[in-house]
Amino acid sequence: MNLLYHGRKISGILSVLPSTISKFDDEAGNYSFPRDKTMRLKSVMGFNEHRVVPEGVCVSDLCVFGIERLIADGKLEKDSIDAILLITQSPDHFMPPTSNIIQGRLGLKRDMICLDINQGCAGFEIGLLQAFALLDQQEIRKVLVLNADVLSRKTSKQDRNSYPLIGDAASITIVERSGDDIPIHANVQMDGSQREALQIPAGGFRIPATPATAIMKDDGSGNIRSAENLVMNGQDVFSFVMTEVPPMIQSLAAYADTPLEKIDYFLFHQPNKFMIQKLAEKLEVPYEKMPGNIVENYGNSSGVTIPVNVTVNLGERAVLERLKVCFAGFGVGLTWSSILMDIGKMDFCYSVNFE
Amino acid sequence: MQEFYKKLADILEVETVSRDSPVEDFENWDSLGVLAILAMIDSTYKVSISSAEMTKVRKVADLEDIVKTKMAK
Repeated sequence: MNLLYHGRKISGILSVLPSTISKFDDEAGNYSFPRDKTMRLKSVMGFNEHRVVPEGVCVSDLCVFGIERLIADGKLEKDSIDAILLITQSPDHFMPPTSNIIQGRLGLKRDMICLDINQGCAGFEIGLLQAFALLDQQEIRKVLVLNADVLSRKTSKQDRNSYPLIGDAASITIVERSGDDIPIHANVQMDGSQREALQIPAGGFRIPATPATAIMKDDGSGNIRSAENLVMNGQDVFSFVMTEVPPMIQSLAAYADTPLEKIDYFLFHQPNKFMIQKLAEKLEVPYEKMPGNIVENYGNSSGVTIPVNVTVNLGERAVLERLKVCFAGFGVGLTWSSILMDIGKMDFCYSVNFE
Repeated sequence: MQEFYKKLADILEVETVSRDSPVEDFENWDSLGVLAILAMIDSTYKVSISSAEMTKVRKVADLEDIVKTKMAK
């Protein structure tokens, strides 16, 4: 469905990246495949380095670190936060909500709303859309959209299908009313009939964790994982993205009456480099307008790849200039969503290492 | 479909492929090879093939038939 908003802006983005760098070359020996076969994947899929959290680090740790940094850097006042929207699939606990944990750890005011949203690859868009809606309320002036995941902890190190690309990260995006009337066009679609394309089968209430669900098994193609690990059907996800994403972008551009050539950047979720290149080709967009360098340098951190894309590739430009950008996320759910909006003149746009 | 065979041979890094070639005989018919083939079929013939359909492919002929059937729809 098409969605339309007015008078909303992103006033700052901070990315929080774990300091630990894991290198594909060092991991190649973990897989059951011959090394030369594994190395073929490197250039095509963009497997190089990815950031993973040290043992025991949780989503709230990354978010609290980032918010404290913003407060220390003079970019954010503690009492100004009226809402926290945390989009994650790796909460600290089943209950309470991790957004409440973050609020409590930071000692934020009680007169606010905290919400956890279970979304992944399209989590940046879903979070923004919710923030835009909350800002209809006069008493809500500043919304923190927190995208954070530590899914490396749920991914088997012997699963060549997923481990080389998985990344951990968090981002803090501040959304406020803009005072202007510039439209923001968006769309969102869901297909729960394909819910098994990306999942963590066991460990919830449907299949509780037991010794049996922890057994590591070969899936028949040489990847070894347990039912408690993240599992992805790469072929089906690829076919879904190639089938659904280009028409979604074409339709968004038509809805906004904006030809693709007028868009400065296509800041898309980055499952792997191969998929981003194929999307650029299919949409006939130059590669330099659709950066694909996040997954090979930081990994696929689910909904966090887009904010990382903005802080790494635009950085200061998002503070100094105004740019017309198209965000698009697609994956788990299945969920796919895109937003066409102007960004720029932000108060801040940078990345920090989590220590 | 001459072009189809040529493109398949390029991806699989072999001299030629024929209708009767069993796909498991190709060394490069692995997850990466299959993904590259799906991408080629998507961009050249504008059809998309699911993993369930792909696992039923035994010979190159099976794949060619899926593509032709989907293109006719």
